[in-house]
Amino acid sequence: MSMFEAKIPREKLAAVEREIERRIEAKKKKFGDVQATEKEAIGDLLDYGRAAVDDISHDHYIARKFVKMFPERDVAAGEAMPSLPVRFYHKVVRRLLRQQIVFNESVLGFLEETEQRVSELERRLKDLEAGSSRSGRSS
Amino acid sequence: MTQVHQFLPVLDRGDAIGNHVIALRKLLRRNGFASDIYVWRAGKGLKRECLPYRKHRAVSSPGNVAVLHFSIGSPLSGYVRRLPDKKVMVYHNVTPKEYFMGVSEHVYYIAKSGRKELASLAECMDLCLCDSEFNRKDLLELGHKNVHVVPLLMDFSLLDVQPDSKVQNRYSDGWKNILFVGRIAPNKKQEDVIRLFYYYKRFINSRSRLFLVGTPRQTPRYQVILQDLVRRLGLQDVIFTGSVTQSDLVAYYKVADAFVCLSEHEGFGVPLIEAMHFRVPIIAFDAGAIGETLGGAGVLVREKNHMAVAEMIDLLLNDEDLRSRILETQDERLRYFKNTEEMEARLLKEITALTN
Repeated sequence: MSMFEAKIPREKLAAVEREIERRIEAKKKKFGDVQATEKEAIGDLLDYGRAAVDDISHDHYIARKFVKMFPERDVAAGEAMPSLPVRFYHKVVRRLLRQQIVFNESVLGFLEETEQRVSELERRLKDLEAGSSRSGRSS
Repeated sequence: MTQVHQFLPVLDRGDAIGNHVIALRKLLRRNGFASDIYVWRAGKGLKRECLPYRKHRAVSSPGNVAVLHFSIGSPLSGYVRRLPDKKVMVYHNVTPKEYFMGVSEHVYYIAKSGRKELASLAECMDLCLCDSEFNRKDLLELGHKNVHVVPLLMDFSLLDVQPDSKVQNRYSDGWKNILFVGRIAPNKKQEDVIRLFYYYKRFINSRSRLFLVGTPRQTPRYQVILQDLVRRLGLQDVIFTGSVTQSDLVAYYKVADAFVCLSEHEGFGVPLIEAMHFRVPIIAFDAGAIGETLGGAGVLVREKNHMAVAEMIDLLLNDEDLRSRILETQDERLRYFKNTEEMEARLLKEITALTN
């Protein structure tokens, strides 16, 4: 199959593609394996899409971001202890967010179970309807 | 008077969806409908063009129509879903979340939730309109019914503004200018355009430059990756313009010698039409709705062989016969999109069928 498609006479397109092939071959002879040089220069820069992403909802992702914004300080490692009101505020926020995450996850779990049960019931209903129409035809 | 109001998350300048929404409002008002644009957020300088969506409650009614423009999830979907008004969705495509892995977790999760939201709207929409068969198939797969293809309304007068003289003067120097217009985003694969330009500049014509016109706002990390790519390839004359004014955009099209698109996911591809308007020969990879939008115009590429595409660009720039034949195909296709009366009539027909 041709690499290019254009609404021009087939012979013209074929001639263009032959010329392109000729030029590529000529350049390979002159410059060597240019693709290999290019790939070496690029390295793994374009492998960014292989990064792992957690399979969570958008709400869960946002909640996690907020929890990270209110981290507990590691005082033993030398991080400064925030003031009491700030520590209290952070603690409350983290607890609320964690509860929200847990709540969201349990609701999500419940919804998924319900969806599965509904799908199962719909399937059974279809089977029953198919069965009763078959027995209707035979009598 | 029947009211037909439009909803979209953000009304932005220079945005294809924003231009379509404004053009549609003009059309509706010209045909006797009361019509406003309701948004979650107004872009810079556009507060007078739209209203906060919460203000719509006062005019909501079962006799009216709510048109939701969907390209990303937002609180508007939930609001429109609950309205007693008749509901139309204009679907502009949600980029698959996989493209954002390793580039932006935030946009990845927004795309993920957007897709779920889109599926959940299937049960409440009375009519769905989309600008390509590619988008239509997407909606049908998600369970939407009554889905029709109506091309995007384009206001071609926006392309007739005075081009920026600084850009024109600076880049009209006999060098060959290769152009791509589109948000800096991983699905648009500017990385492939850069790799193709590497071959073109290094092995074919060193007196050349590449313009990547588009904002990196949504995925700035991707622009960092692209800039690193340019550095690793030792490339010069790759210009990331960022967000540009309409006048700048027109100037870039005017100095361009070729328009290259190697995007892997496009719901329509407005810049392709713009390139046709400015008679810039187009070479584009056949993905998403690109082939459909081109409709035989330009040169369609089936395989991302950067060397071959770079040579094709050179032939297009130097083989006058090839260039003029390709431009003829583009002029023919452009006539279809410039037949705005027919486009408008089709759009109105779909919407007024709901109001009757």
